[in-house]
Amino acid sequence: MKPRLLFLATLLAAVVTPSAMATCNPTPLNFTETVDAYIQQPAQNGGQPGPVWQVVQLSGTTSMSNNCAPPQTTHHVQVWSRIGTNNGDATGAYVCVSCYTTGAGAVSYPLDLELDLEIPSQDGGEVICSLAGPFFISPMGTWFNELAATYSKDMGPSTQVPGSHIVAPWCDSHTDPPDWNPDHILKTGNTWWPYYNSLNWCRRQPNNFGVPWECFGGNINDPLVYGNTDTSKKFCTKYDAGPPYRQTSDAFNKVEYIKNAWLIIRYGLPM
Amino acid sequence: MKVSLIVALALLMTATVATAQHQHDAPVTEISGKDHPEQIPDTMAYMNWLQANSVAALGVNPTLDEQEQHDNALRHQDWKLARLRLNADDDKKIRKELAVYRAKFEKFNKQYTAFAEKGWVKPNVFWAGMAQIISETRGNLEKNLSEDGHKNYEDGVALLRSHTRFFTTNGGVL
Repeated sequence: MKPRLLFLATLLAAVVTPSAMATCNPTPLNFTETVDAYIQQPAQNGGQPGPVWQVVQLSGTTSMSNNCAPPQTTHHVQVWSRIGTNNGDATGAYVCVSCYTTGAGAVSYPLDLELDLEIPSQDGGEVICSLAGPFFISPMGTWFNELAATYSKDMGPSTQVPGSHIVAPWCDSHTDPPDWNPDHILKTGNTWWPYYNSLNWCRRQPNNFGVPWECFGGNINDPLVYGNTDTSKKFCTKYDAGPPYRQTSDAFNKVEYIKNAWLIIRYGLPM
Repeated sequence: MKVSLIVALALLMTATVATAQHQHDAPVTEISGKDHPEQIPDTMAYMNWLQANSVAALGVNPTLDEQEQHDNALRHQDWKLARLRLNADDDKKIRKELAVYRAKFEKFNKQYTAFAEKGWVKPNVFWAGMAQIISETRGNLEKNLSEDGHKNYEDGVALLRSHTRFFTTNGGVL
């Protein structure tokens, strides 16, 4: 009889102690949320580049100790991926509690609209357990995005990064330093050029004066780079320069660059 | 005594259901890949890039919808890989290696899922298996790509790592 009482007492103790109560909760062991963005290239036979795509991926694993959840318990990710009023939210597959769970949401935004405006975007997500509901949130952040254009001068071969050249911004004084400020470049069209136009999709948070921009091309290793020979400094994108430079530089450069992209793709690089 | 036992079991079940409806108690640490890229485990950083840039193979007898989704995924793969500015030879090699990686991942994840659904394995087994697959893939890419191509691919991984948020409740142990 005594061993039975002891067993019961142990069982009851396990039921009522806080540590035991916590053991049946799903715990997000390790999760990552990544945000990637890239510009859709023009079709081979011509056409403007774009739209820009933003892909948010939330992935990871969860723990639910002691196998306390019923076998049919599942969890899945809900991903938030938005630009402007466009919505690419997505739901991942429903998988078992110990299974790897993942989901990705892609959303696009046309490049030929509102070139002079900062465009808001959101990313984030949550993991939802069929037994416990949402138990982990990657908080939704709001960013401000821009299509940044920069004119750069080739400063010669880089000793630090073999196979590349160093570049320096070649922007009008009102827009220097530019928001997108690459420091080296790879070959474009199998040759080196004295100057380069480049486009990049950049974002910052919060949208305050002086907050640096984070761009999705590491250096000028994005397809939207075009060689140039014009020695004059150009207006680059520098949002904080304010009007009239903001509108002048963005409207002028981006339309020019997109037009150049179209011409280069269709007719090849100018000699 | 029998009644007591039933009550105890009922209490236990009640407690299980009640606690499962609460949020988890473990504190979550968030690490920004922009500020601390070195604190994001390599296995997760490389896996994120490989997953984002590879495309799962089509199954046998795909539906029209599946075929369309697959074609669309391949187009996105083109736009993503174009950023690496690889030469034609490296481009061909990285696509082949990405396809090999994705096939390994799909096969391993299917096996792991089957065991996990039975409660026989825990997530550390998943990450150990993925570490092996990713190590093989990284080794192949280093061996097969040109020096410039390999550097550009590593830059791509680093860039995605800088746009990663890592959340952990166990100090980042996979």
